[in-house]
Amino acid sequence: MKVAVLTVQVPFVRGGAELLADWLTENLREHGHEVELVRLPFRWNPPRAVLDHMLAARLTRVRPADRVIATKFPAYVVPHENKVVWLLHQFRPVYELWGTPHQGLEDGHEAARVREAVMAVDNAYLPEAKAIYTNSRVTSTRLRNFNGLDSKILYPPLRDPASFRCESYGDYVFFPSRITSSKRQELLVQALAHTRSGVRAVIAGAGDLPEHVDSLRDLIDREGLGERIELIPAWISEERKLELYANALAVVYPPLDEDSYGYVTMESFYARKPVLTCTDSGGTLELVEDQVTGRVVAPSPVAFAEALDELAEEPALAERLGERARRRLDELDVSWETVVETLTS
Amino acid sequence: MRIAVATTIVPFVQGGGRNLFMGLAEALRTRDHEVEEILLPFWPDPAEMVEQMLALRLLDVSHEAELLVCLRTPSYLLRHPNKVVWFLHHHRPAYDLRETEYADSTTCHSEAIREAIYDSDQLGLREASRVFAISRVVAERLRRFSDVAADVLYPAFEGDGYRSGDYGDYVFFPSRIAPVKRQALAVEAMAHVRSDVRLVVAGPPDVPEHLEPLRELVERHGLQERVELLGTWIDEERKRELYSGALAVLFPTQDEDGYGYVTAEAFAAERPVVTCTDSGGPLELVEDRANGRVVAPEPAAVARALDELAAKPEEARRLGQQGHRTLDELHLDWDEVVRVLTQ
Repeated sequence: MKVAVLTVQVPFVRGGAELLADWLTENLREHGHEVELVRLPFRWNPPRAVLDHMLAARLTRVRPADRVIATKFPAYVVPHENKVVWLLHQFRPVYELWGTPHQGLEDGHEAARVREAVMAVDNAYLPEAKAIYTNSRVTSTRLRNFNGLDSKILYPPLRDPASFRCESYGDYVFFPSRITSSKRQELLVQALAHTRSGVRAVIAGAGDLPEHVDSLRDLIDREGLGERIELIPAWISEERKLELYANALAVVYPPLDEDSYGYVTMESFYARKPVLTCTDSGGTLELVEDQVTGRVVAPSPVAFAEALDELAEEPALAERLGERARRRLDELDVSWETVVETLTS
Repeated sequence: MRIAVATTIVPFVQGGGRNLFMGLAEALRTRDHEVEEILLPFWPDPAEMVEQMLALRLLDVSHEAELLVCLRTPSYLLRHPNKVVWFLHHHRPAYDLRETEYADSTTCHSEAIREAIYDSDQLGLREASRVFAISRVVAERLRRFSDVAADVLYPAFEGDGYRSGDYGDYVFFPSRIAPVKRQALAVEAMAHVRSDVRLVVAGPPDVPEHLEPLRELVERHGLQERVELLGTWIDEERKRELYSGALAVLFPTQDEDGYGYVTAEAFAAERPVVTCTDSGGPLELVEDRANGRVVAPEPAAVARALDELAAKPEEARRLGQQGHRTLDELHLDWDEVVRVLTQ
């Protein structure tokens, strides 16, 4: 069928949502659908720009499509009689980020009015969809609490899950992620200072800001862990990433209150690696279950160190949890076949 | 430079405008510009055109890019302090095509909507810092319909891989099949031809309904043996092969906007182009008896031109080789397009 995938674009900025729309498009095409990917420009400052862009979306036509799949605000406002929504997150500044330092919407009287308008638009137009799916329990819960809307979870798969492999449970843990305070790379460094085993760590990812990398490097030096921690402060090639996953003992991913399970978690599971995360990590807890598919510990260096030591002293435990993690993906039915089937039925 | 390139698209339709857009984005990127592609759906139903124009006007892309280049109508309604328009064509159903035989479902019968289209063209074009047209034909229409002065900036053509072979026993007509391209004229001309020359028509129909009448026309004239109708796109290699062995290329299109890739491809393969006095853009490259033939849009006139070439293949060679020189002299490369649009 003719499918229009609707998302938004912030000129010159690309992130996970853009990639997911690209992958969805690819997979729909592979399943024989004719696909048009439509990305509507969006900006939110000054706040009244949000009103213009909501209205623009409402006035946009993708008529010849048999099915519309919308993934982001305000793309899902585009009218169509056969629309489904696969929501990655709502317009955060007026929901969960409202009133926090991360609000990102210039404060004031105008912002408050825009907030009301966005909520009214969501309440009026989201229910037009034949079905609403979200990427996580966190997103579904928010949609329920803020807008009183029900939704089903449809986990976004990786682009190419088959490329992940497991070769060994080696002597290092792997932490692949943007380097930034909310991902808590520091916690791993501090934990390593408390370990008794000789477990090593590889931390890879671009720094959000150069300061984040500098302070992490300082911490590593201060703790005298230069020999045991390899810090790669850049995006690594896909090939190198797969290699590092394949031979890691376990994967470390303890972000603070993440929205979704995070691609890192899913990549680890495909590579049959348990994930070490924290009780306050949010979305990762949808997939990581303590002593089943990984370890869930308190966000303290000591607790973290204990979990690291246990795994280092007993690689068979890492293997058992890793194998269980891989099976968990099958139970959840995370696949592009499922996504394509669900969104086009 | 950070450049946003914008165009409108008809969802699910691959047209020349979209190809030119992709080519431009790629050309800018390979010349070290940072490019954001903005493709906005625009459904050509007159009843819904005004609100879609408003949608374009509401979108704000003015902050991040240093330059906005707009192609297909009415993408130039987007706002930007440094906007350049590379104008492809007007929404002709609201302008000159309204009262012609080419009117269709997109034809605009409402005076109010026509006025809105006219006004929005005025608005978008007049606030641009510069306006370029893809051909002299289009520049002339811009002057006539919109009172806007535009320089001509031809789309680039990269003629790699075209080769010249024998001047064979067939003329080649590659184009999507649509009434404005006038495949029917080509078939009717074949009914008048006296020589043994054959016709090969390649290209998909715009809508399936365009193909069958053409088949019927071939049968009615009993031309099944001499007209080959390939109703689909052919692959690049086969296309080049058909160019390289053709006696000439037939392109009798009605008032084409641009010079037409068919014209450039024919010249790249050293083939003469047979076109018509009312074909528009191709006439900017094709000169009668210099590098092709320009004849009246009538079956008998087209047939005479084909017969003459069939009788004198060496003349076809002379014209084709001159066509290749015409192409060289125009320097239709991306370097020039990028230089002009970003200066």
